[in-house]
Amino acid sequence: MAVDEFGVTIFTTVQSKFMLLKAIHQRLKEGLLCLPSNQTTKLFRTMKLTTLLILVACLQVSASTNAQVTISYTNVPIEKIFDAIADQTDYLLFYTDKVIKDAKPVTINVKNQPVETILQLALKDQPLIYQIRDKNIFIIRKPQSENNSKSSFNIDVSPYPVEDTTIDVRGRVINDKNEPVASATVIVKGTGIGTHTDNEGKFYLKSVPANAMLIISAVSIESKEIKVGGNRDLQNISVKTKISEEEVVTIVNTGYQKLPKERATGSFTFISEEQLDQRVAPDILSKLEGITNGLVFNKAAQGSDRIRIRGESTIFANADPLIIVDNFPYDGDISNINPNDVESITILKDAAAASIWGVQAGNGVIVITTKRGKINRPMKIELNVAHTISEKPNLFYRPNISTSDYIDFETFLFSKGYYDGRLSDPNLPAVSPVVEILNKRRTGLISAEDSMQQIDALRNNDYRHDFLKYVYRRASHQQYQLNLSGGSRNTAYYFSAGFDKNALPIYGTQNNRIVINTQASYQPIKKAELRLGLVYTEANNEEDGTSTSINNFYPYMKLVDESENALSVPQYREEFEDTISKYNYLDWKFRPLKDWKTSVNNSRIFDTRLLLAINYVIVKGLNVDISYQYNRSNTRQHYLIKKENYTIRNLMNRFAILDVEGNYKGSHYPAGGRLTVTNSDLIGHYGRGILNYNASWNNHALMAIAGFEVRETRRNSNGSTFYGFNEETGTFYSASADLYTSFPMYPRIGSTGTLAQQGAISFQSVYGGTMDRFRSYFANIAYRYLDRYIVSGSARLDGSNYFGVKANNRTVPLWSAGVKWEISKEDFLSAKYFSQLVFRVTYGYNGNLDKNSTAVATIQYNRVPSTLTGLPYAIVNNIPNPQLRWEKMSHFNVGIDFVTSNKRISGSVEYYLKKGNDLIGDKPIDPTTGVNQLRGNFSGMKAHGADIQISTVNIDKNFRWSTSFLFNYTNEKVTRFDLTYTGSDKFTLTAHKGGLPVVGKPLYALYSYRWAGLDPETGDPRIYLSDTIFKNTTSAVSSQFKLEDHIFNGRYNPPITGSVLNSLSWKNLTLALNIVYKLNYVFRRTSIEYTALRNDWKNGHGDYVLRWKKPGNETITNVPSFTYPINATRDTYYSNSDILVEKGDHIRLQFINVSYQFDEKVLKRSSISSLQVYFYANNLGLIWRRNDKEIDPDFPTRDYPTPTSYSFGIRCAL
Amino acid sequence: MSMIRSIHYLIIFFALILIISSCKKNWLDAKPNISLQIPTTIADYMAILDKTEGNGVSFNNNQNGWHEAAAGDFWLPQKYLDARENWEIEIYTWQKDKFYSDLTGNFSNWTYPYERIFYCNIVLEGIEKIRPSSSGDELDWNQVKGAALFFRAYNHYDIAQMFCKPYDKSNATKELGIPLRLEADFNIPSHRSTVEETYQQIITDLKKAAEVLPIATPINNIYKYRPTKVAANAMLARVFLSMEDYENALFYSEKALQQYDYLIDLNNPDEVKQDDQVYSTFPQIQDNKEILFVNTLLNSQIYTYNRIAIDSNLYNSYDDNDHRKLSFFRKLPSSSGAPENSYYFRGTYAGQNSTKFSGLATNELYLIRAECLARLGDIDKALETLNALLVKRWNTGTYVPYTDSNPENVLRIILTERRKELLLRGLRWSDLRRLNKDPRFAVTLERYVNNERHTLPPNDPRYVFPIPYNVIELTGMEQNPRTP
Repeated sequence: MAVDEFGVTIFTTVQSKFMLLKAIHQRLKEGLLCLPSNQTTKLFRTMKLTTLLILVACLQVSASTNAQVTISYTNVPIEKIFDAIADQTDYLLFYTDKVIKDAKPVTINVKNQPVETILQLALKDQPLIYQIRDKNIFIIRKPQSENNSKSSFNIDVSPYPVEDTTIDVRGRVINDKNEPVASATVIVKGTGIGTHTDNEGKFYLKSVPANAMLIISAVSIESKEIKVGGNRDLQNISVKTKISEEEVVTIVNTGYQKLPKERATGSFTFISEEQLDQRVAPDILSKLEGITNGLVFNKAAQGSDRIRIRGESTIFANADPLIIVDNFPYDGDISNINPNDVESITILKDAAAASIWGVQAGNGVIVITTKRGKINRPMKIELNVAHTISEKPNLFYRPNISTSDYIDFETFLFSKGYYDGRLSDPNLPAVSPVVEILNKRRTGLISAEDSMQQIDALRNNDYRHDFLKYVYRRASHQQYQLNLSGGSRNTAYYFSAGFDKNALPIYGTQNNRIVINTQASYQPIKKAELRLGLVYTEANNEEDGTSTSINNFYPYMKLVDESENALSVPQYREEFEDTISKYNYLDWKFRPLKDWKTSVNNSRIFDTRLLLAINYVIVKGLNVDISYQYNRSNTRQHYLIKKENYTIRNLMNRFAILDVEGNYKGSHYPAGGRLTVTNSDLIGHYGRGILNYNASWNNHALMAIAGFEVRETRRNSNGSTFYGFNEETGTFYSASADLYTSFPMYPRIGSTGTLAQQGAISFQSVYGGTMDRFRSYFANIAYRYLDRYIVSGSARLDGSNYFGVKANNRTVPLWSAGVKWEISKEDFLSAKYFSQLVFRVTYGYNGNLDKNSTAVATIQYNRVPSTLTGLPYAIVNNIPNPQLRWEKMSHFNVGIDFVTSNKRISGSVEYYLKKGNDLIGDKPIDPTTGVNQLRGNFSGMKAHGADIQISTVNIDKNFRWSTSFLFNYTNEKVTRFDLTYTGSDKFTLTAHKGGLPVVGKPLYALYSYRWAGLDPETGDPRIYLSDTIFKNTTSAVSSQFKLEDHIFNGRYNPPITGSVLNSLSWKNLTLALNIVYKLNYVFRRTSIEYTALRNDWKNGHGDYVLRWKKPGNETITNVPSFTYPINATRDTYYSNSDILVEKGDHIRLQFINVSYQFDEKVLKRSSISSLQVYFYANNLGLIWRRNDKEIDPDFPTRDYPTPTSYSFGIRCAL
Repeated sequence: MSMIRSIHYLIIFFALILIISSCKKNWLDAKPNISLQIPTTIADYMAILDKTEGNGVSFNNNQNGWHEAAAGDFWLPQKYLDARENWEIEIYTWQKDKFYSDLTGNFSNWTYPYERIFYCNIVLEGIEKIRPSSSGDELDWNQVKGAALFFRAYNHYDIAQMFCKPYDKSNATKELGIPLRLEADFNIPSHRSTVEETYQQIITDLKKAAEVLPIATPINNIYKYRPTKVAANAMLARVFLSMEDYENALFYSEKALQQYDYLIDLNNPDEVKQDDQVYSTFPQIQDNKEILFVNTLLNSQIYTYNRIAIDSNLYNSYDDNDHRKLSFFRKLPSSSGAPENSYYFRGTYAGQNSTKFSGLATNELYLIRAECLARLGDIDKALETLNALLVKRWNTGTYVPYTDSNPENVLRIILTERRKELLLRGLRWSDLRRLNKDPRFAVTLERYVNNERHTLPPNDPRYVFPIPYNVIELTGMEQNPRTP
């Protein structure tokens, strides 16, 4: 076998007959055999099988290499001649019956003549011409135009006219960017002669008439005609890249259909690959911050929790947006998506955009589209490497009380006898070294001088120095991505491998991720396309598993001594820890630096997604698309605590078995390590069938889809604990630990001490499973008239298996409608100012669901039986509420999109109104019924807001400067909530979760006491209660306070957010600078709370030094005096007063990206087609903040703000 | 051609799978969470009633106890009172006007029992839909039904002791009782029944329960938590005693004692075997052979065992040879601010000092029987019953049996011994409500807070607690008056 220039496989053996048939069939169908265009398909259709068989039969003799033919025929049909040629030579003849039906009978009598001569004679005066391509002879009709002119095939001119007038032509096709155009078709005009360019854009044509015209065409370019003009090497033929609709138009993907943004009525935000490439992040969601219109980020939160689309849409139901990856809801951990595989992201904001997702779309939808290969593209290899380094966390961000102040504070408490209870507690709770020293001094063990000296030695310690040295490090993140993509005429493929390695700021905490992604599509026939995708992700997280909390530490703690040996931090009384070993107990000391290395909590995620889809065109304009996705995700967690870890030693000691003298002689707690293995499985099946209809006639166009979808997600988890585990041998204590018996728990010293506690060995096993099922029907229709009026509508019916919904409420119909008017296309509006001006309005409903509410009573068996009776027992965990329904929220959206006629300014302005009257909420019920409050569709909320996006090109010369400005405003208000709260603690929340609904107020509202200054006599905190100064420090009356006793400070989630992105480019250098802002909100800062400081020094605030000390101080400070006994009520008034409420408004420099694109001329000699290097810095810090307290309003309560990170990366393509 | 056909087949195949997999009937009925279930079996309903512990309301703990703070058997040193919430002080001092003034939401003495009743009604309604298919099932079915009825009555009775007037034959049909919840549907509005209806419902439920509950000895630990026939009869005795129906109280106490009458001898180390480290007179529940049904009072800081000082007269009424004097009491530390020789109660019947036993036990039955016999004139038998109990409470060989022929004296002895034996068992409030009607036994309670004197005279309206305000607000039912 051999392959000719056409890519036609030539079969030279008799045995290959059948293959030949197939090959011909195939090539003709694919259009690789170029015949005059009007004939191509006909040829295929009309070619008789017999003809083919004849052709095949020819092969039987065609093995001969003899090209000489001897013929003696008189007045025979022309086919006889062809047969003879085929018989005597190894040429193949291609023709159809139709072509030769007008041929006249022929008389030829020649001997040993070349094939060409025979053909010329045979075709003389016939309406036919021939072409020889290698060993193939094509018989075709003589082109009409050439019948009149002098044909190059006119044998009257010369016996071998072809030889004289044809030349071999070569050339290379390149586009505007000097890139080679592969797979372009090059045809000799008026003939079927043609070829394709190769990957370098080169082509070679044999025997082309010297004066021929070549037509170069391809999907991606505008066709071009070029005269050969006798030129044998046409060199670079420059063609224009076709500005196809698909490329200038943003294609938004709803997850169900892709449509040009211009034709969609809904509200979409589209984020392109280019925009995503500006940022470096291990996960995809982080990349959206600061560049996505309508998306608000809460930096302090985790996972999908941190993003909200157009604010809040629910009170109690799930508030996270729905995330779609490649057209299916993504159930796994979003951090498993490799951001480098993402091609684009579409955010569906309003009802018309999102209603196609029904009840899941209540919080908006984020549609992630991953990269695909494209048909007719040469293979492209891309490599992206990025390395990120973050600064060490700023542990000094939190203004803690100074060590010296804390020591004084402890000393004072000690003098008041505060620690006496602890010091005499038989449970032997730990006290700090200072208290130990003071106690020793009091009992006369050391002198006053010694104690002073020992304490003073501690005054200069600050644990944070040791922490920065031994616990924290610079975080680093390495990212590698390689992908291959391309496609031939009927296939497309994308293959990528990504590897991420992340070292987090705490030593021992790291993760890495490998993602292998394969996507392929294949068009076996023109009407059908098969798609196949397989994504495999493996992620590994590792962290230290030492559970002993830092809270027992003290600010003068040292982690190591001078010779870097790990120091211990007391968990019990010092003397006890020091002397207990004489009773043969295991070492009972906790040495953080040593113990932190003897426990590993490792979790591995294996995630596989398989996609199968088929699209088939039933008739023109109507196609069916059926897809199925299988998702399996397994998370395996291994939490190993080695036997030398403090946790094990402590538990073994606590469950000690003692002999009569009180010596440790064993433990109820199994000796050895402890391994807890947890497995969580997710198995998802998604199936979808869609009918797609597109039609246009005259001025009308219709686009409709209707479909059906089923979805099932099962989650299972189980876990068990191996006691006495030996990680080297894999052995464990074979008898399971006694988890039910309550044993005495120590410490007690000797055999006479007080027994402190009883307890059972904690129980670690879990088993659980959930299953979600959805069944939905949906339809979506858009009608366009005159290219400028669009009406759209959609409807969806959802059903699920939640107990939450009674059978007849299980399905909920949701709908939306929209109109759009392209004003700029109206004749009456001259295009003087706007090249595009669009007005659109939509209205519709999105749903939501609360998985935790039910329509029937459900019970839940306790994991372990009753310890009192040994009987299994169950709790009634859901009060049946037969009226329960899905939440529904209406969403009205009006928007204008525009592009000025000079294309310098473009943007969109949108306003929306959201309203929900049957949101899930609580309602008080007469508790006599046995139910105190009921969760049901009892609440309402209203929100309105605006999304504005303006892009400008400020300078467009060699130096280019463009700006993109985002402004998002959202303001929600609770309109109905039946529960009323009393008690101040309810109103003084600062958390970002758990908004307390109060009618007429935002969901995230901050309330405080009105501060009335410090008492000039005592420095006590005072507040106003209905205009009178209130001071009560004797009893906890705050629980009586009502809402009216508080002032509303404002929202504690920002209603105004946005960003400004400036891009500057000069030649190959580009700089992008992103600034984000959050405005008009408040937060509560922390200050000194003496109760908290007493309980845990970590809560000690540096405001301690500012406290009121003597009369007169009240004019300069608001920090209450310190009094003893410590009074918690004083703290409550102060810490919940408006004096601590700060404005959150701020502007932040979010990121800078500098990239350099190497010049193509430089790269020309190498095989690299494009090369970019970039530098990226993220979280660069605040530019402006309204508060003067040095607090980052995004992190008011966190230990430290997200540190600045710097990345360097290379992106190159082959 | 065949390619097109195979694509057709592929599409049809896909579509079929989609449709078959999802169009199955009841496809959406699948259980969304393995650990959640709709109760359908006898065992499921039994499991609801077997909840003895854990989060939320259980059937064997958190019994109403706020009245114990008002019953006058103890007082709190001022230091501890200072730390108490207003509403606790208001109960402690029998406030007239202010009540629950800063208690937000959690009126647990109302909500807990009604929540239990709600679950009982769910069980009673659910169990009716199941027909037992075997004799074993039949037993279980009866156990579930009996237990639900028992718990419903037990909790209704508990509420009645606080929120409606004591039973008085003369006007029980006129006085307002408590709302009776006999159906699970929370849409049915609550309204107050009469005292007569309240008690009749309690008795009816208990009698039905006694019919179907198993005859199981509470020696088996499970049957200390699950109600039995004996427990139902003992409860009937308690209910009739509070109604001053001494015939019936006698009848049911004797019926119960016939089934089980064991008393622990506090002098027998085998019976009172304890870890020397646990301060307890009585053995742990599983070893306490007197217990018929376990329940404990709701914990409250206002009667935390080591903060209260027992009324000194009461303390002094225990003889030095009385084993209980040592084992019930401990001296309050001087740091409490209480006068020298103040004692706190630490001798709970449940074997652990942090909880207060309030369930049913044989010692209560002995005392009910003795009192009823005395009231009905059988003095000898009454004393005989009392002596049988007390001999096991005194140190060996020291107890001198009571002998007296004056009926009033005998009754007084028995009532005193009742108070001493059943101290802090959640019974004193009911006893006061009942005994105050008899001028011979009426007492005025008195307390000091910040040196201010508070008193509660006999038969005061304050012997009935106000119904939580939110209940009144939501239902419009009539509130209990606090002043005459």
